[in-house]
Amino acid sequence: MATIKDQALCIRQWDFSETSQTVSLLGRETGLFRAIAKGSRRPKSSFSGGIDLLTRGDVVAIIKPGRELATLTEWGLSRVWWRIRRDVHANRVAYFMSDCASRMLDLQDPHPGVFDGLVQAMDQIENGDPSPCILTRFLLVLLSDTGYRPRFDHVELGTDGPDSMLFSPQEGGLVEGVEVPGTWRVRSSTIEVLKAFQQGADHEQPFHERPEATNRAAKLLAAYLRELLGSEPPTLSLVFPDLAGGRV
Amino acid sequence: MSASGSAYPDSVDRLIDEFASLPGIGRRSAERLAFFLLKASTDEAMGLARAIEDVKNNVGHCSICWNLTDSDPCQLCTDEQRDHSRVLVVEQPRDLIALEQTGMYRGGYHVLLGRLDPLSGVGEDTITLDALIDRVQDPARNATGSPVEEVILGLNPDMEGDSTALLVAERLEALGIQVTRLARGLPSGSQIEYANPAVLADAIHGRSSVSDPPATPTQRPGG
Repeated sequence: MATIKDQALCIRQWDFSETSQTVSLLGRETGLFRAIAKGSRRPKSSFSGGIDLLTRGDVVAIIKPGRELATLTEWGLSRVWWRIRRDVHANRVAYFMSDCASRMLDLQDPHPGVFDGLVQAMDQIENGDPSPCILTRFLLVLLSDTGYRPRFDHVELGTDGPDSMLFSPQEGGLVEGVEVPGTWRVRSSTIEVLKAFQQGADHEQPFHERPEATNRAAKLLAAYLRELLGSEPPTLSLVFPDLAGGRV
Repeated sequence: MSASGSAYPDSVDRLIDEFASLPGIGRRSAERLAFFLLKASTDEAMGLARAIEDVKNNVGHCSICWNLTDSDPCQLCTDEQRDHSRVLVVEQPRDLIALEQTGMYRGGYHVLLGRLDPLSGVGEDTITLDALIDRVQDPARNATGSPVEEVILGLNPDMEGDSTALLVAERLEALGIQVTRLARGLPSGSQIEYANPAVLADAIHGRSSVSDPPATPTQRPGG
């Protein structure tokens, strides 16, 4: 029986009873874990009056070996992002990012990079940064940290290069040769933006230079992630309605 | 011994099973309830049975506001003393009852019968948003035929409630309707040092003048 103290983001919550909740938390050092918070909705509980989705807190939990559900003993709310509660587009982007993290990570497999990436993305939403930039950057972090970093480096881009390229979700990056079923034709400008993000370009620079290409970059990563998951996250259609129903 | 192998007669076993299927009732509590009914007089026990039967046969949703009612339209929608140009949107009938108990609101209601939960794939097709849009667009479909001037969002102040409020506001503002929401912040009788940061931030964001009490739907500013 181990007691853990960590910073965490609440990425799912369910009502267990009128006063208790079960939650899925993304701990910075603990990774994704599920827990029951007994009495969390009572006004004078140790849970700041309840654990709300997409808030950050300092958490204390008891994790018992062999049990999937930890027992949460404290939740000290430390951060609420307001824009996602007052701006419909920001709200949808936040839901999608949370959904992707929840589906890509295994239980109790720590990914501090994903935690930091999600916190940074939420901060950027709060600052009013353009959502295609936020999404592209976060999805690249999530894919890279989980071992699915898309490969673009082996193809040279330049003024004399082709207008479009082939991306294979099975291969996890650009491929050469003729277009076959299962590969996607992608514009070179989209790849240039993704390479700029991967090389750590200032996060708004690619968007300001090429807003449409940045939006296509985010969409490509979202479609790639869907292929990796083998199913469509329900929140995908909120952000990219034209990808809904398995469309590419 | 019953067919299921328990020591109870089949009919008692079935009653225990039915009680145990209710939320918050375990097997032991179900047995206690069943024995209470066995000891009760026939009139008392049949009174409970008739109450359940009446509720299931006679109670439905109001065709205007979707509140629970045994007459359609409901008493709230047919009350001509209420200001039906204002519609307060809530998630569940229980929320409506809580608001009515304040005695502060004398307008109309609309019950969504749920809320969005995008992570579980629960979308707007599961709530009565289209019926609300119809009421706003066509006064004949609103209570007493009044045109709707203001929609007040009274949804739970959590992420799912806020997401639902954003969707409802997006749809209604496109129709040119004034959309407001209930104030958020510190509950009366509480202490600031025990309030969580989200509640305090809400209270600061929604601060109001000390001298001017907030307007209620029965007290229009300047009216």
